[in-house]
Amino acid sequence: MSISPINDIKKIRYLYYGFVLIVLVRFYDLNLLLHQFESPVLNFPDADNTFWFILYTGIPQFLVKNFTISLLFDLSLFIVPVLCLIFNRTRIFPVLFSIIFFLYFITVSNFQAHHAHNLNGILMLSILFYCTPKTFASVLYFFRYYVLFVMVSAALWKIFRGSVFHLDHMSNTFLLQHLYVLTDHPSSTYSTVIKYLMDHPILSHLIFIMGTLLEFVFLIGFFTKKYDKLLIILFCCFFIGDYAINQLPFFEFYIFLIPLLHWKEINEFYNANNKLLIA
Amino acid sequence: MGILFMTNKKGFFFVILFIVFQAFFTYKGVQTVPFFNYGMFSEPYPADKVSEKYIIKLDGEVLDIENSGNIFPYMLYENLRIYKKLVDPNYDDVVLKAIHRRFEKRVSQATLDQLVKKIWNDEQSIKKFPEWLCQFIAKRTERKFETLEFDVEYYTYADKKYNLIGTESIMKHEH
Repeated sequence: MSISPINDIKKIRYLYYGFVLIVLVRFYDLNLLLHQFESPVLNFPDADNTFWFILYTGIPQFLVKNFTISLLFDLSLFIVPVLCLIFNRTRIFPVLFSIIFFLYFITVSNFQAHHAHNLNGILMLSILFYCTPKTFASVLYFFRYYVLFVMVSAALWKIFRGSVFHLDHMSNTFLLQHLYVLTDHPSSTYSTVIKYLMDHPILSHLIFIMGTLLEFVFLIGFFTKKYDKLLIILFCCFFIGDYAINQLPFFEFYIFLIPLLHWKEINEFYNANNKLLIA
Repeated sequence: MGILFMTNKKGFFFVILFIVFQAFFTYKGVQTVPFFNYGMFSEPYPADKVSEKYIIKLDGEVLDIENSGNIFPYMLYENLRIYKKLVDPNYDDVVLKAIHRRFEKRVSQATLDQLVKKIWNDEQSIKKFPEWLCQFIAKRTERKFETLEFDVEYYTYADKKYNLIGTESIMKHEH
């Protein structure tokens, strides 16, 4: 009997585009859609070649120049994922979604003057849906390694740039991160907790070290898939903790759990195909 | 990687090439694509650093940015941060320097000017910022006002508390 990954691919498609629609509703609520920017004027491409190239084309500037254009573009962000779900046999809509989401990613990062990483997962995984069933598994596993890379490289940056060796690093980071809440609402429960951590740098640093170790644990995933369930739990713990302590909502990053989940059909299909190819 | 080599040689060499290029660009400190640098919170943060708090006043009344409803505070703070740097005559504009460093010897002066105009902020767009800020805040908060002020409060942290060490007026604009 031949193994088919079609059912798993279908589940992933629903999971992915369903999540995308939730993120877009959340972005509307956060006032982060382009029509909510009211035609901004300042660019922030940073020293990033990709941003430079896209800005040079003039597309981001065009998308925010006029309210109607921005609104139509934002609407397309919602409509195309729905079309991807309805017309699931055609590749044109997933390709179109990758293009418009990429433009949104560059435009929003440029005009909000901050290059956040939180949308990387949605953008990258969008590639999956114009793969053939045969390449789908390989690309999905490639992204599994990418997720591991994200976590491990974040730990390595902290080690090599030295923040893990500075006892005051975390408490000093709080000074910047929580200035507004601590000066505007100094007696709130949240401010009290953060203030306690700021005044106890060893405790803050221990939390930072634990976070770095937690990221580093993902190294194990490069050698075995046996602990992927544990990595899923650690992934959630890390970002929930990050939100609680640093107020950094990496909600959009949870899309990266898709490659870490166990997909039985895809796994069997991938193994069967590779055995044939290697033989 | 072993399986990739055996099943897809092109894919394998692409991955190797990518790793080499990424390692090179990371070493050079250049970001080429926005998906591979996860170094946030990795640089030791100095204790004596002065923290900046951005204040917006509408007709002299302080706007509660965090609870103003229809504004993503972080987006506003970051735009204010960039504007503050751009109007500071002593600002060391690293992006502008990077554009010049990467293209000065490769393209003509006219093309370079065009590049700067398109990818960075020329004087004209900086001048437009106060009016955009007024329109943005007026529309997003549905408030009418005549003057908008952008001030910065400077804080240090000592003796277990924030200490206001100074304020600076960055902009006052008649809407």
